[in-house]
Amino acid sequence: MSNARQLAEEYMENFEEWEKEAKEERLKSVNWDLINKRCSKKQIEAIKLFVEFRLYEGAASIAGMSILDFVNLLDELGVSRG
Amino acid sequence: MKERAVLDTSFLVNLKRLDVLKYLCDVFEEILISPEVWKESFQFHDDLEKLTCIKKEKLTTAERERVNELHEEFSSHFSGKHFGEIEALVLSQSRGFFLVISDNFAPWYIRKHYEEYSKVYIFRGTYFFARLLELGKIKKKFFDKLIGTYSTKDISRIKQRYNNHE
Repeated sequence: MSNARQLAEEYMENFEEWEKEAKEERLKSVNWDLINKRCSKKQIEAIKLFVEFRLYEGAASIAGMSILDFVNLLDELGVSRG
Repeated sequence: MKERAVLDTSFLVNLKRLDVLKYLCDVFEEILISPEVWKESFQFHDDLEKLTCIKKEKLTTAERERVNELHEEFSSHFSGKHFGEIEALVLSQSRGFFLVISDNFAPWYIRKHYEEYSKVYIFRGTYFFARLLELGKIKKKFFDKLIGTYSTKDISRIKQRYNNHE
């Protein structure tokens, strides 16, 4: 088994624990002052969903944006997608 | 060995942003793209159409019904639309367990809560980047570009695993 496959299978086995770590990182990365200044109400609602659950498609649909544009917005705002 | 995979839009968007869509066929022998994932990827159809390993796949009536059922259930817990991710998972299971590559939470949630999907392999996009390193398509320093897209701990885990790589 390749290292890549082994690591991916470990990710599946440890999903909840590793996802918890990633969520902490997402939460730490959010600057709500900046987001409240720059974003619409719908975008703020979408960012909250994304930070909580990493739901790309769900969040982009709430923001009324394409997924690519929504991810670009998160990047500009410094929000971690991990 | 190359594998067969169903990809969701979250992963494709991350590859587009990192300019590595061109390597998809180096890692995968065959890739299925569901109708909703294709629709959601409209900003980079030109890139995807160049890739010979990609197949745009229609859903059967039974698969469409299952997607709708799962979407109804999933969206009662999580707001927004989630059809692309659910289509990817349903296609994987019904077409013979292709790998699902997703950076999204939805397929993982469904895999955990529905027995019929419990055996589907879902990998994060980090798998693809680790394979690119193994195939010599990228150098280890490329992983620094993944900061923001994946968690720093995930990136460290890959770097540690490939300690002896350039």
